[in-house]
Amino acid sequence: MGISPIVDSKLKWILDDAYPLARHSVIYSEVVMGELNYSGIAELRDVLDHIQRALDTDNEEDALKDLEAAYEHIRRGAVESLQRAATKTFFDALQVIRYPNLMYKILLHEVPDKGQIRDLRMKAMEKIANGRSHKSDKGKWKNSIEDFKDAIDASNEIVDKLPNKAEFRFRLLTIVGVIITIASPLLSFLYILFR
Amino acid sequence: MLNIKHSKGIKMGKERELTIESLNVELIDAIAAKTSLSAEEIKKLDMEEIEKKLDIKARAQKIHFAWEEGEKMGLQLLPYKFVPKGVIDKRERQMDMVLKNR
Repeated sequence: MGISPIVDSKLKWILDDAYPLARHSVIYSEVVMGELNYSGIAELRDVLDHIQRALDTDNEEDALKDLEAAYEHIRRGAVESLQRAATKTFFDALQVIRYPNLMYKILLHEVPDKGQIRDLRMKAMEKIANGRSHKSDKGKWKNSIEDFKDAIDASNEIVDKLPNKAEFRFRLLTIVGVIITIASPLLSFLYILFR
Repeated sequence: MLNIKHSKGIKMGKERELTIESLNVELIDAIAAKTSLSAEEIKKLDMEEIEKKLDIKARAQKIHFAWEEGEKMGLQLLPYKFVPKGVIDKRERQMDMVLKNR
């Protein structure tokens, strides 16, 4: 027996509408984080399991229940992946805003606009909070994906505006090197002069 | 579906019998009729070259995904790490605290 028209249309809707969103979210989070998103991949595997069961059964009610479960895994895979990515990029951004302004001046780096950085940090926090509160809502989970993505963008903007730790250390080392290079012959000259 | 047998062949109409050899000859004739190639040239050429002569686009058009832009920028070279679930959970708990104290 073939699948019923209702099951067929629901399956098409899941595969055409919801699945691409989850797939993009899972891949996007891996690209953003540089981490394997195995929980997202596991959710997509569960989606496939439920679709297989829905296609195997002759009972329309069971098939629809399985498709509902598949949709739930799609939702979870999408929102959890983006939440993981948003949390990681937010903490990465916090790592680069620890230095005092004087340090930037000493290192001849443009002093970041504190207000702008603060706004971006608050925006990322608000977006993550919104995303978390709406992610379980069946009508709003797609909005929470947008929220998490905005939080990632805000966090990345912070990282782009400020030098990272490696750059910071390199500048410090360069300036210390320059000072030593200038000071050592000068001190040697003064030593010879006043000896 | 076309069923081709090597030994016996399938009766095609009243007189002709369809075998791998006869099918091959028919295929070469058909290609030769549509192109300027001779039967010998067709036997020697790669399939891709013949497809070009026949003006067939055998490959499906590439589907573009937005995330591939990241790959083009070199992000695919990132060494993807395996991060234990405990570390991920710890991050989420930290986020809970940050949001609680905002």
